[in-house]
Amino acid sequence: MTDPVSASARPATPGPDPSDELLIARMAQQDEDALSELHRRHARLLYALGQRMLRQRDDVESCVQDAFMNAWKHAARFDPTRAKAKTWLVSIAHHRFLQELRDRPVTELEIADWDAPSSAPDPTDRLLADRAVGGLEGSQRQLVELAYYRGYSHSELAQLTGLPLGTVKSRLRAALDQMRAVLGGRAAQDGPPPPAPRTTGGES
Amino acid sequence: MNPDREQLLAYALGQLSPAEAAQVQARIDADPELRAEVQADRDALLALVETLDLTAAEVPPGAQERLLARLRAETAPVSGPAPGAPLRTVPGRPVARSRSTTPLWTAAALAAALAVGLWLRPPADSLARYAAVPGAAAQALGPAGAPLGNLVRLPDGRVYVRLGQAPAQGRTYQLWRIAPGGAPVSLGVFGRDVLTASLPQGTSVAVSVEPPGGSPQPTTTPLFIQAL
Repeated sequence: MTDPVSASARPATPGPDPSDELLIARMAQQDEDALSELHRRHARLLYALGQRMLRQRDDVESCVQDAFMNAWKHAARFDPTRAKAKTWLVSIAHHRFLQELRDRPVTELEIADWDAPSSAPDPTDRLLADRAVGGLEGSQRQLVELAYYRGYSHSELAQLTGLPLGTVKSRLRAALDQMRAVLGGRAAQDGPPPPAPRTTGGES
Repeated sequence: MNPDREQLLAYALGQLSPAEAAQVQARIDADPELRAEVQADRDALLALVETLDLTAAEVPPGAQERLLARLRAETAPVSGPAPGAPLRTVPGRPVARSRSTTPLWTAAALAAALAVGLWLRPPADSLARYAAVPGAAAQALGPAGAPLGNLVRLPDGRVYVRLGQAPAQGRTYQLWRIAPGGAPVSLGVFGRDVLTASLPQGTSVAVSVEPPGGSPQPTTTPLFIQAL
């Protein structure tokens, strides 16, 4: 991990906005301003994710708070050489929303009720992501979304969609491979350095 | 599909049970290539989120201030909640929903889950889930003929308390750690159930009924005092 001490030294004069990774390093040093800035940058994304997963606005703020609190508590464990900050933050929130879904009383979801999400009206900043997701065949995209946004297992997906279990698995894998291939260019441009062996610490 | 890839993808999607996820996590920790695979999957899945319509996502006014208030409340020295302090910084949340009304529960559960790089995947019944943890010890609370609830001590020292009914309207439960010869130490307020941080063996805990937000010290006779 980069040295958070030297990296977090604040400039005396206005400079470039600190990266998300630097903000997380500052959070590891109990810098509340860094948490505020990370919230300012990404709260809307996490609320969009929460509203998509929980399909209502209740409980979303509580879960988003939990996600930022956990990012704060575990900031020292974040390793920017292994993960992008946004991926890390979204993963934390995603798991929290899944937990919220699983804590709810069982509610049946008919496959016909699963609607396509609204896309960003201006995709210029998300062109590659839009291309990665938009390039999926309809059934592939539905499976990936149901798995990611609802947390359904392979067998649950097979039951819900009526597809054979093997088909569910192969389509999910093919979908992710396709998305990874499209996003490969971005990863080369702005992704973190290749992972390096690490002797201590958990997942970042 | 290669079983490894299938399992890694399921891990990235959050589909695995805690036991399965722990197994994958251990393999990831030992193998940078597997870890890179999971990160690539997660980066790809991020694209799903990035294509959502952010203009339709509403960040409630004051959300950032409430986050900071919670941060300060949870990182302040623990000596019991301040008199009159709000139970929760999120408005409009029902008090009776313990997982949403007890920062202690949330912090403990989430921290524990993150500590091993995964998140709990509980079944609907939390009491059954905690009681089923290998090495956990469950006990009834209150008089034998009319138990008030249940307590489960987990192998790592955390304690899960669940009472049979929610507190009366306008009141809240408050959990205390009873130190020999010392004043009770608040472990937080809750609606119906709560999960503590790790407590040493031999500790006694108690629950009293308090005004919303809790009290610096118990103001009513505890419903029970239980030695762990």
